[in-house]
Amino acid sequence: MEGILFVLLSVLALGGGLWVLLRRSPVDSALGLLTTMVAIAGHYMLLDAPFLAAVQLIVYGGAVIILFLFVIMLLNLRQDRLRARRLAAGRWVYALAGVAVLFCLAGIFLAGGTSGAVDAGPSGTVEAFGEALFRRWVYPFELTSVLLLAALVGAVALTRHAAPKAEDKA
Amino acid sequence: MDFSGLNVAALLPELLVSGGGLLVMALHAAFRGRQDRQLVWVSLASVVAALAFCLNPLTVEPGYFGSALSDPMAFAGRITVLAALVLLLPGGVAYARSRNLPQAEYLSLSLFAATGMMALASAGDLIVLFLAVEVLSISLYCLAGLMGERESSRQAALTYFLAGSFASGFLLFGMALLSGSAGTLDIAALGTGLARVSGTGTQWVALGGVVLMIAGLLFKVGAVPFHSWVAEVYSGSPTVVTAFMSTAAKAAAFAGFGRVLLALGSVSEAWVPLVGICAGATMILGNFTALVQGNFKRMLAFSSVAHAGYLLLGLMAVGAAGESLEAVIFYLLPYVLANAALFLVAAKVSQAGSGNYKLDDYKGLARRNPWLAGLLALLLLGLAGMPPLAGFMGKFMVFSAAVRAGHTGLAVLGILTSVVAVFTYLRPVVYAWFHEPEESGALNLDGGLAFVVWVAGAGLLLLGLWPRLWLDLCAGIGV
Repeated sequence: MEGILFVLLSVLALGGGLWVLLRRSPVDSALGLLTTMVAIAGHYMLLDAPFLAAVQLIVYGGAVIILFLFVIMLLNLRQDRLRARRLAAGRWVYALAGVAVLFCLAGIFLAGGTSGAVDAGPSGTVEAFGEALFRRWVYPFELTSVLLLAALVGAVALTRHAAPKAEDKA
Repeated sequence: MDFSGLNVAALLPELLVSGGGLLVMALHAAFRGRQDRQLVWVSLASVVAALAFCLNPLTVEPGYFGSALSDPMAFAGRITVLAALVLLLPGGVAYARSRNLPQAEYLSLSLFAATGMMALASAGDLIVLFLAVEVLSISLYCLAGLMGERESSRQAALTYFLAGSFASGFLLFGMALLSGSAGTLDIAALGTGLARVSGTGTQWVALGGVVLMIAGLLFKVGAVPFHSWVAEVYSGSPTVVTAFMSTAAKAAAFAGFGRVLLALGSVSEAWVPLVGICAGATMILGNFTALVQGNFKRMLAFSSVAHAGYLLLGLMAVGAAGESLEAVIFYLLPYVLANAALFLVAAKVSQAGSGNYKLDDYKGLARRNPWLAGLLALLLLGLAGMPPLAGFMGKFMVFSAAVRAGHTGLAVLGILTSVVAVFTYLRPVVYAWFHEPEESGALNLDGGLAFVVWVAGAGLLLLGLWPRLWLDLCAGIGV
């Protein structure tokens, strides 16, 4: 049963990821992302972490995707204005890297998967989760807040001060 | 609540610097931007406080359950990053003011980036390593785009963001595979974890993780074949930001890289050929591309690619023969001093000349300001590795470590490419001393820039004559 669910959820997650990449419409992409997020919540359930699964659904499935959809609709992106942006230099490197990842994954599959040696940590109740997050992993947790703060300051700086001027079309 | 095992002292430098960043934002908001000229002093105070704490003679135990280390590598990385900040922040603020960039945002993003860099140099586990890389990267993406009125700055930010996210993905995926198969997140314990699974199928998973992680890290340090972003990002970003990227960020990335490779020493046969090829290609491509540049900023960008090659050579020795990271630690500080000063000089000379960093701007510099021309020569020759300057000792230590580890061929390649580098670095010097000036009139330095150039020059000379000074300091503290 667990095996079937795992495969099903993985297919959903990967399919959602591909959907994000392959669709041209931003709304379609956002919905694909939603599928991936929900499938990952299912994975957390399988890993015996119900709290994490609930948070995943509420924060990612709920708030983040809704925000995405709002932004897309507010910006009113039209198909014809979305031109493909390419990384001009070193494209072959990226392609090579992609192939390498593929081989790597195939190798793992053939080698029989991971050993599952990682300690799964405390069971997924809120208490155990909080205990782990605010004691053993408090440093990474705080580092994440610096990350978010830097992103926030950067976003404000880029939009408020560094917006392209009207005459800068040349 | 039980706080045992945290040991806040292990994290105090990071806390001071990120606190400085917060304070800058708070003061900016409180005074509604009217006192922005004073914010640089707040930032410098937090940096100097962190520097003073790092240099204190007390032994600091690792903190946060081994996530925040205080070994020589962490010490050297933090000092190098903080030294770069001391040199760059005053000049950076002057640059920001003259080009109408937001000063408060420049300062706080620089401090947040520095927090990430220091956390990276002292990271004890893979989660902190990744988050630290992200903190410094996100801050730098934004700093790169700060001059958004220019197309080149926007393009630099976008390119850096795309390439950097790609690299982060590699890094994270590699970490997941590696920690999954080794059964631990603790970087130092990765080696024993991998030894346990050697010979089983999991070994191949671990190997995939190692390769992906190294690819991600090579991307972050801008080594061949993952160097394509360097030229565009370095030349498009505001010059003071480029200086910060090519000095502090690179030093921190190499500290983290070194820590990972040191832990993976037991599987060195898996990654030494890979890193070796990249190191050789990086030295060749970086040096020859730098040679043909007619633009000083681009020349420095490619020269920093070349230096990444030499540093990779130093890292290879670490994994193979139980060499210490001494050579890499030593190489970084003079490199950072010289590069930080050179980028600031480049901004000054370019502003007084063509405005787009042409090498021609240096023609006849000796007539216009002989002291500046002399120090420019000192800094460039220091980067080239001329004795008795510190660049020579750095290269000497890296090459001899490589020879001891059995990579004689690569060491010879390194020496040959260094000869090419001498030509690259001599060109502006020859322009400055043996060409007629295209513009007349003295080129005076303001106090801050003069301070930076003199400190960097003195540092290069001092470290070159007494290399043990810095090495003993690193070895003596926090072990």
